[in-house]
Amino acid sequence: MAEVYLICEGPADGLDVRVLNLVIAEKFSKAVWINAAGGDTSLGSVATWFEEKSRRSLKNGTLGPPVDRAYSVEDRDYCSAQEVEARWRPASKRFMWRRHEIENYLLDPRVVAGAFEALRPDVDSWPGTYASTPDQVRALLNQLCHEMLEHHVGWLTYRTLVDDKKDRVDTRINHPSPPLSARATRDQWLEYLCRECSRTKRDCTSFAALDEFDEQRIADVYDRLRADCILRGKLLEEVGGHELMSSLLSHMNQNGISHISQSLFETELINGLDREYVRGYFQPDDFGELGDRLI
Amino acid sequence: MKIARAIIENFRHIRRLELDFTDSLGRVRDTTLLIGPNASGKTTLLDALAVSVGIGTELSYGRPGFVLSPRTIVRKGSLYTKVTCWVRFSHEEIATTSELFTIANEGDQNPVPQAKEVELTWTYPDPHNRSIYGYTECKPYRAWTLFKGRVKVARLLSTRRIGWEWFQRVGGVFTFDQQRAGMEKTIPREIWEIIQGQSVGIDTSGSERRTTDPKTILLNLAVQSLLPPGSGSQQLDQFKLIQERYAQVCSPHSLVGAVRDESGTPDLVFNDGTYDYRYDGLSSGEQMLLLFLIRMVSEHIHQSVVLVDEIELHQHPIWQRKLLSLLPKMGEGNQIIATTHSPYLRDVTPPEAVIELGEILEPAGAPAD
Repeated sequence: MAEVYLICEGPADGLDVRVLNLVIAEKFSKAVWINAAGGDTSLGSVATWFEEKSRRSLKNGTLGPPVDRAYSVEDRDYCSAQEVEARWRPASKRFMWRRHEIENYLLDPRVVAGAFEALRPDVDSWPGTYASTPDQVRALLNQLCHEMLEHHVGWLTYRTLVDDKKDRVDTRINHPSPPLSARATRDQWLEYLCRECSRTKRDCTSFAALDEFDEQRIADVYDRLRADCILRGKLLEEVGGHELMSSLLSHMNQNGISHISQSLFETELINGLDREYVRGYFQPDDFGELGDRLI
Repeated sequence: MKIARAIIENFRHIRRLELDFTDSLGRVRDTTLLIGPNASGKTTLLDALAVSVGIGTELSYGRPGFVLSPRTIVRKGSLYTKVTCWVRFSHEEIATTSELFTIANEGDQNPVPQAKEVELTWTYPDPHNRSIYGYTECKPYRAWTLFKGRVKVARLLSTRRIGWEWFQRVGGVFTFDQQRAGMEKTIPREIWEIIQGQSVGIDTSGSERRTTDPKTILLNLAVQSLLPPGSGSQQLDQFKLIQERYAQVCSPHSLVGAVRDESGTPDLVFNDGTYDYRYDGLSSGEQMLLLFLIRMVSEHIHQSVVLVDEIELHQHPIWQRKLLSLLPKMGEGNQIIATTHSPYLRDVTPPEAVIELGEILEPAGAPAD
């Protein structure tokens, strides 16, 4: 029987694994192995490895096609909406969250309000005026998001500049493609290396001449991205969820809500999601769409 | 009841071990996983918790095959084994136990204290040579009454002075060994006759029969679910509950219900999403899961400490995770303490809810796991 794998980011016992296991395996009853790639890179390679190891030897001595199927879902981070939607095209197996990362789903105001309600009876110093309803929690989270706005826009700008540069010039000294023969001569190697370095110098000169990377234009990009962010009004979904959670915990601590570790809070948020989540809970519901695509 | 902390001393090969089952807010965690290699003492820990608290409840303690004797319990070179547990009771449990003592007309002699946490110390063998079960001491002293809620329910139920629903309000200690054995159920005579038939030479002179056979117990629940409301409403819920839980873990497999086969013998029908199959066609994983479900439901395990040895046994990794997540939801207010070798289970458990036992025991002569 073919196995189905879903590879996510983070360590083996990370938040991604726990949340995906809750929603995909338990709530949707999908017979899917949820595995972490161990970090935030090479998810595709890990998924490919799961598929490759399921290839069986055929009678003619060759390997058959993969029996198992492996999918992956990675963080959006600072990718554009177009890049994200491209990952959800039909037949795709490499998905990307529409929110910054998995924490942004856990930090839904309804889930957070539920977690607060569960924690409140056990924290004597919980202020009576602290955010409790989903609307109050949303307001608090939005306030914290706005404090992170410049950080978020800074990284968005960085990502935009890097992409722009990639589109226009290549300032790396690349290795030969196709590779040179193992019997290549000194002359052949020197010819390649000099040609590649000349190309790099030309690209660097071109890059230096580009006014898109001048101080004023960079500021323009920054300000445009900042204005776009505010206009979209989706900071709660777009800022780094991990940082937002730290920021929320810090705010709680400053308000006398102590002894709540990040790990405990994460567990309480997962419990909250367990209580609250039904298909269509998030708009759009990435979990529901992911579940539908897996089998 | 829930165990918040425990100190185990001179129990088998454990010289001294302190366990904490609370989170950073001091709340007892619903689930704790004990992880370690073979012979690291995982089963020994469960035995120590089961016997020390279980004896105080006057109900069965320890797994089947557990032998309570100084030779098998007390660490070599020590005179006594001592297990101290800090056991917590909810407001409802305290109130219910108090009410039970009142119904049993013992409320005046044995007032139940409002003790939310009780320090229970079990010393074995009894230093005063009074009991073969060792010496149990509670702080505060009167708090021993809090451990008797469930046995009081059983006694009052046998005289029909209270109903089954009282089991939902007071807890005990339940151990699931690696065979998931230890289940026993009383079946009304008329249902026993329906299930087993009257012509098989069974003595049906008594009004009830006791059995440990899971298929018979499940058939009993299925038959009871067919009885008119009122006569078996309690059991109706139980069979439905087992069906729901089974489907949750084993999806797309499901427990369809009971039927009579070609020879008229009652049997249970399951479905794998496409085809029907009978009880005899169950995989070992499905059988083990059913043993769990039947016992949790039919023994009304609520407000209890549930000790599970090697929770992953016979289960596909995907089912292991579902079982781990479902266990705390099978009853109200249960505390699950389970051992496992499965890294796949550890990965979905909050890191603070995992106790690694790798190096707690002396390597030489460690007990078989």
